[in-house]
Amino acid sequence: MAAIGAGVTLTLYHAAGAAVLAFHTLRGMLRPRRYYQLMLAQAFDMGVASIPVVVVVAALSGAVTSQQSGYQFTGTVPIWIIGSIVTASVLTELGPLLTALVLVGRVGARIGAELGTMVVTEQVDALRAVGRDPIEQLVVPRVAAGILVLPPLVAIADFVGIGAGWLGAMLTLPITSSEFIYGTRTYFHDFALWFGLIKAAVFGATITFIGCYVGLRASGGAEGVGRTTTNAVVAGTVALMFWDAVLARLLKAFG
Amino acid sequence: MIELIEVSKSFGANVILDKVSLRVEEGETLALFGPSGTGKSVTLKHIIGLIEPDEGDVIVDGVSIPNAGRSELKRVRQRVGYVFQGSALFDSMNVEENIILGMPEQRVREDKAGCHERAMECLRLVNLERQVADLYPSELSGGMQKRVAMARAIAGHQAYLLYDEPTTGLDPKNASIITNLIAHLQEELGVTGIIVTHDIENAFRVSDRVALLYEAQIHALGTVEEFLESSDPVVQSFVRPDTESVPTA
Repeated sequence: MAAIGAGVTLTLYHAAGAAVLAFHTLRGMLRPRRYYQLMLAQAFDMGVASIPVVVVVAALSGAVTSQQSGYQFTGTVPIWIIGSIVTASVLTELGPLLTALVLVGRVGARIGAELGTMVVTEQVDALRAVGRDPIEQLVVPRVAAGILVLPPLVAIADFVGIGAGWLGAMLTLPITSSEFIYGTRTYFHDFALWFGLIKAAVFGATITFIGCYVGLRASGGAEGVGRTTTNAVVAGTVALMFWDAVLARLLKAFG
Repeated sequence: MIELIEVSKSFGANVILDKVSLRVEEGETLALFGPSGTGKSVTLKHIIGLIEPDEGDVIVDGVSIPNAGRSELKRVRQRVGYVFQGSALFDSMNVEENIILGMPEQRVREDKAGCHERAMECLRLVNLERQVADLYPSELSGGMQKRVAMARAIAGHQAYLLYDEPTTGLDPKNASIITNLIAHLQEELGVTGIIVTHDIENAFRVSDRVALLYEAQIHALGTVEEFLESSDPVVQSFVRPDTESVPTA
């Protein structure tokens, strides 16, 4: 019972801390002139540098989806359905979620380690000491950059994923290109595309915000920073799964 | 003027400061020393509001720091330069950018050329060449990093300078250079300063008064001469550590 009580207390403590940070971050985001240069630098680093790994993961996920659905459905349902399955899976789930998971490891962990190191080496205190607001200087540009870069990355992942699914199907399944495209068009709704991109923006905010939150709470030396990095990845992944479930319900409600 | 009025601070069950009162007059330099872990750095951090006291008040430039609003606290912080123990330079910024960070934000936005010139002037004041401006902290020695941190601390024409163990981790030669630099800055800029240090010899060279923080309280406060002549065994053990064992809190 005591352990459960301590767990609840800790959860409430972090929820309150995250709420306060979120409030200050949102307030800071209302003044883009103050952070747009820092945001663009972060966006370049998060976005452009992530493209290769996003492309590889998206290509593999698209190809695997078409292979797996071909294996499951050949001879049981019309073969064009593979085009629908690949498109639906990539646009609503695989594109946004796998891209976000890649960025949890690449960006969330980096932000956690970076800010954690800044805390334990007193750089964050130094910012405060010179009259600067660490949230405005460190958190706002990163969260804004996350919101900015995830949707285009997901759009690239969608394009590559569907393309790889098509190529995989062409090379290994008894399906023609026109059948695959027919399946794709049959499923395709604008809303699914937009919803995937909105989801990407939410994921972008989540990954960067959690990286910042755990980073700013780092303590201790190298061990503390290591723990912070792990926390950023674990908490980021859990939060993404949570948002994915919640947003899937919204998709059903509005789609 | 900097004044701590009966400031108390605990971390959990660990009492760090217990009704500590201290007053540093305009233009004065005070050296604060004591055993490790007695709250010297915590005392400094109270002065710029990085730590809030559990009880008591901290007055800087006529402003009560624990009760100050965001903008008032920001204004005070821009009047106070803080040299951190580990220099706390920003790894991602070069030396010039680090120094410019010590200048008011509005000036940085509106007067880039002026900020550049001021950064170069600060480099001169801390005896560093202009060429250092483009280097990153990882390319500097420990002594140079301290000097850049000092340049950042004075970049905004701060009226108060707080040094957190400025000579710790430096070899005797570099420690002496930094101490001379502190003395030079006090003379040239006429600022009010507090130096937290273990380096008693160097601290005595640059301070007008000395305070000993011991067992969470100011155990002794006086001029350098008064400290040197004190018969208090705790003071003696710090002033002449080779003749007495250093008491631990």
